[in-house]
Amino acid sequence: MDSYPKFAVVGHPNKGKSSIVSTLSQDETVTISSIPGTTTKQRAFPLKVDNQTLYELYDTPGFQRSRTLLHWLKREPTTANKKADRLKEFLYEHRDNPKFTDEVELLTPIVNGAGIIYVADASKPYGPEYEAEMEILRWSGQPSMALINLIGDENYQDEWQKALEHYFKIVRVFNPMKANFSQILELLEAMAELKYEWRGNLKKVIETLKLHRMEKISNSSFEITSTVIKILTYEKNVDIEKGFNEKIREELESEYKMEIKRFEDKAYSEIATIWYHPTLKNEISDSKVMAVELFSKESVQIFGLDKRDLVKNAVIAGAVTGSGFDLAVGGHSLFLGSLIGAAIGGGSVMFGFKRLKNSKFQRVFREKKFLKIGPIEDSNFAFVLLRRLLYFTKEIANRPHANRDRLSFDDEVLFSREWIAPDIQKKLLLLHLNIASQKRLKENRREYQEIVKGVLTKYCI
Amino acid sequence: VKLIDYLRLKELLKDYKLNRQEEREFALKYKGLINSPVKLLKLWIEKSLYKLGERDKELLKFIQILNSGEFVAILIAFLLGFSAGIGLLSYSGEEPINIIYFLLFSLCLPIISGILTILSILGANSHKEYKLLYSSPGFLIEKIFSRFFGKNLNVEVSPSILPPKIVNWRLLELSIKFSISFYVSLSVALLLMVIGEDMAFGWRSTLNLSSEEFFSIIKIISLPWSFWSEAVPSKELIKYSHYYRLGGLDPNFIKNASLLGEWWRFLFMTIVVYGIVMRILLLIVVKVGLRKALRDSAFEIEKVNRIVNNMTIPFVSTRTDIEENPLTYSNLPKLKSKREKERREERRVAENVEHFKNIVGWSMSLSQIELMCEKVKLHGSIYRAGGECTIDEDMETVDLIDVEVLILVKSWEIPTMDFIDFLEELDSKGVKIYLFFVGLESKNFLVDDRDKKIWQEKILSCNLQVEIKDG
Repeated sequence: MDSYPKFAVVGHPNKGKSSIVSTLSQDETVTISSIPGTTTKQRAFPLKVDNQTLYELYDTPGFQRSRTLLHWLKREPTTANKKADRLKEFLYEHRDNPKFTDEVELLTPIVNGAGIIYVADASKPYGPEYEAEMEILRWSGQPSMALINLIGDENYQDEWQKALEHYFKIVRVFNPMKANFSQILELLEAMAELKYEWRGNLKKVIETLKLHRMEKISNSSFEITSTVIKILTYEKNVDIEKGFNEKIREELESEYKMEIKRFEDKAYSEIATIWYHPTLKNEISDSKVMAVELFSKESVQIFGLDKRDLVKNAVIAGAVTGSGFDLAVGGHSLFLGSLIGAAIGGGSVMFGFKRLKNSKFQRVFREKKFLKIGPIEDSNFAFVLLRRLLYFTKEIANRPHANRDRLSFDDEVLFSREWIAPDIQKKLLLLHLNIASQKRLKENRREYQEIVKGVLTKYCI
Repeated sequence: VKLIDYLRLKELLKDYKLNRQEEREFALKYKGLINSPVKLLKLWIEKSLYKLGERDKELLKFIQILNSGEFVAILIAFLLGFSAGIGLLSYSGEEPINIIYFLLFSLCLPIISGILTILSILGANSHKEYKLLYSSPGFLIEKIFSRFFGKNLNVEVSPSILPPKIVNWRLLELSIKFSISFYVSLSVALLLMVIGEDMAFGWRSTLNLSSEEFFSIIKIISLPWSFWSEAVPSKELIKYSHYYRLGGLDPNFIKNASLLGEWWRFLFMTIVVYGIVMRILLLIVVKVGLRKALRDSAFEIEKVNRIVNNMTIPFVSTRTDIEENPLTYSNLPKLKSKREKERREERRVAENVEHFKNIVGWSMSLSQIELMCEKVKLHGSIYRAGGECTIDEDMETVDLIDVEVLILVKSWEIPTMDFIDFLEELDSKGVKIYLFFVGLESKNFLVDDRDKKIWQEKILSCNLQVEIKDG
């Protein structure tokens, strides 16, 4: 027998067993349906580290003939020490009986040593129909816990709690549709309490999941940084040897925007893959993932820096640039460089912000026989882009895999200014400037990635 | 990392899709290398070469072109050096060979170009091309070669597509090799001339340079080989070798004619030390720099860091390989429109019917059944089934029921097969079955349409003759 712990998620049909498995296994492909009996066979979801299994979770069909089964079990008087054997006997006898397919599927992992995670929906009242199921599970003698899930709006948690505590050692509330990472870890900790021998492995599981999450954050930071660099340095040319007119300019601008949108969508798609959200990836390919267009005014209003922040940061950036001159002349300029730099920085941003609001922020100019567009010089654009990517990543990272709703961005607070601390904001502004001018790209890239990682770690762990 | 590794890596990654599991599995095959990402990456390139197919041959051809260009550049440098050597050492017998001229080539030129090389080394890691290097003859030859011979290559390679950092270091390497070749040939020319000619060396200068002063300069120059005294000219030799354009030769000059040839050792050592050894040292530095630049540039390629991370960080899998076979109702017969119509008629009838011969509350307590009967004004013999009742008790209930039965069910609790079995028992007895959905008390017993639909689908899938009454 395998030495790692196993857990069978069992219960009445349609109470969210698959949702729990989906969230715990981070598998968005698990079919979750409001139609009862969608799960027809048990499926194992192992957590493996380099092919070494640390624990295994079983998704199972719901009980269909629990009373009939219990009736069979009680047909012969059985002492407590023989109850598990009696259950095994039932499974053996009915292994090919189509009438008990679901029971055989759901009980097999349990008689083979899996711990029990009984799922109940506390948005519906407790009823006697559940007692046969819980009684059967008790016959197995396996360590067990119950999870109270709230599928609907009603709340019958108290009556469920009382009933479940009667049958199970541990009872926890867990909503797979809303559970965040720390709630998942708490659940795993509770699972570790079921059996002393399982603690070591589950501790490893928790550590592994933490590391795995950090890896995802790291990969997302990499993706965000690459996308920001790509977009902030992107240029597009069109041959105008045969003449130039306004239409060419407009077409170039439109293609340029489309291309940038494609870069952004690709980043969303990559980030969705990193966080194992393939369905969302499809949504992204429909280009509907972000309700607000990157180049729209709304995008600037939601994700951009406000005028005050922009001016403040640009003044600092300008001053830093100007201070280079001051340093070069050993301060003999009486720090005029800083002052002039600050003034230019502040002024340009006020202008840029206005232009960005009108969505006409690309510099289009003719260069010999080419019409060139980009890179985008507006300092707010980089923030809009970065914050959109950060926001998307945060949403994806904290989205349980059982949640199959379309990604919606109409929450009350779309983006909070507190996400990026003012000092980080200043650093980012300078980095954006350096990236755009392709200065010390490697070092800047590293620093940028670290900042992004820091922000994501704060909101995704 | 060599240039070919870098080019192969770039080519491999063009259409490569990251695969976390495969990459980690690859690394696990070479556990000893997991802590050496560069070695691991090189091995990965090597093992993935088959994916390049013909493109790899093209890359090798490109490298061959670069090498040929390099070889031609070195050859040209050798010829230039040799001709320069022969030219500088051509001795007419009328005037000695001016050492200072020779030193311009064997000492000043290497020192100046060495300083330029050191300056270039300092700026070689720049992300922009180091313009200084583009005037290098080696670069021109290499460029001509790759333009001329590389135009038929299908892979997108040319020195210009390489990152500036690599180009800078490569050009530095090439320039140094060019110089080494030049000075080697210069030294060969010197040796050949020493062997084949009877040469006399002397020195003169418009500057008012005394023999003592010149001696101290020579001493400083020959400091690196001061251990070889024969290669360090003596004060006397310097004095005797001094000659003037107008004043003619020192009277001792002819007397010591045999001594004058001794300068060749000093000149040879100048070429060896300043022209060759110093450049070899620079070449070592540049080789290290190029290696680092190639490694850094390889790691700057998007995906490379991800691949290396994927290889070195344990692979965590939380998902299943077992295929799912979910139950769908799409293959079940849909509710026929006629059936729908019948149902609507039945519903109208049901609104007026208050009496049923038998009423069963499924998984309900007696008080709940009574409450419902009172609420919707239902009359009939009341029974309990499901829930707390045992299967035997359910069977007893089935035995007691005949003609018709209205079963009250909790609409929110979807039907399990226990219930379907109960219906089948009743159906097999020819009992007319009516279902009556009861909603949640908190919702005033109103039934959710979604729940009702689930019940209908389930009943329909079991092929049972059941009529549904609205709650």
